[in-house]
Amino acid sequence: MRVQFALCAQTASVDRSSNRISIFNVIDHIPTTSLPILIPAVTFVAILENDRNEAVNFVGVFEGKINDKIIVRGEVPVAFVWSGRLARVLLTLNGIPIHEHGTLSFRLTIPGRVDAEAKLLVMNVAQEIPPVPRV
Amino acid sequence: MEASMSVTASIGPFSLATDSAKEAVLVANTPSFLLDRLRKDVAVQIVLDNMTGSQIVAALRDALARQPKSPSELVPAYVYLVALSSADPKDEALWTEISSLDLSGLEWGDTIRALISADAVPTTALEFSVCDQSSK
Repeated sequence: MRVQFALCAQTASVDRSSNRISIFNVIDHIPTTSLPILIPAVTFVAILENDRNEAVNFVGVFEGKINDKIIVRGEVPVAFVWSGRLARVLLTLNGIPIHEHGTLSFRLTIPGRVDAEAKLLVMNVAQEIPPVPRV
Repeated sequence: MEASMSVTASIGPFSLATDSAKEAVLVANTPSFLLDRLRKDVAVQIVLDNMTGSQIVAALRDALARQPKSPSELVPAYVYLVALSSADPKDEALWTEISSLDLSGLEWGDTIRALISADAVPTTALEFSVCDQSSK
């Protein structure tokens, strides 16, 4: 099994008539000027590819961490169908409190099969703002 | 709402052979073009709003059983077929029914079925409330 991609975005949706996925406002980092902050919502999107066409169900474990501290954990059923090799996972995470700078990571693990991980840098941009020149 | 099985297929007051659907079927030069056009068509949306997957399969089977007298009579069959692209990928019974349809009466029927089958990727969508968990 392989991970086609895993990423975080503000929202994602699946079109009713085409079953195609749309991902809006991909998040690659989180700039902060002060802490703590609350991120209202992040959507974790992963596309997994099975080795062959088969209808099979797995139970994955999803875990969100800020640095080494676990902030969310839960089981996620992942289903593959006979007609294809792909499965999608869309997880909406509401109200993420950030108390420290570092790496916010989200990982979906299907034990013994695959890890799909997305990492976001929580940056302290306050340090990087150059001082205003004095006249 | 009830689907009419007459030659001029309709659902309630809505005819499925809309002008735009007819135009799509008559001018399409590839199956994927026809699929994309019909997916956006109001006729397909009407079918999706009013019929279940099994009802759509039954209506399609009924439409295919009749010999079309003109190209425009193929329109409802293509509308039903394209509407099946919204079938739940995890509904194995429905996809078995879809696979068993004899689409030889539609020039691009088999190709469109192959396209919608390839797009039927199952999606797991869940919500987590992080605040609740981190406060535990």
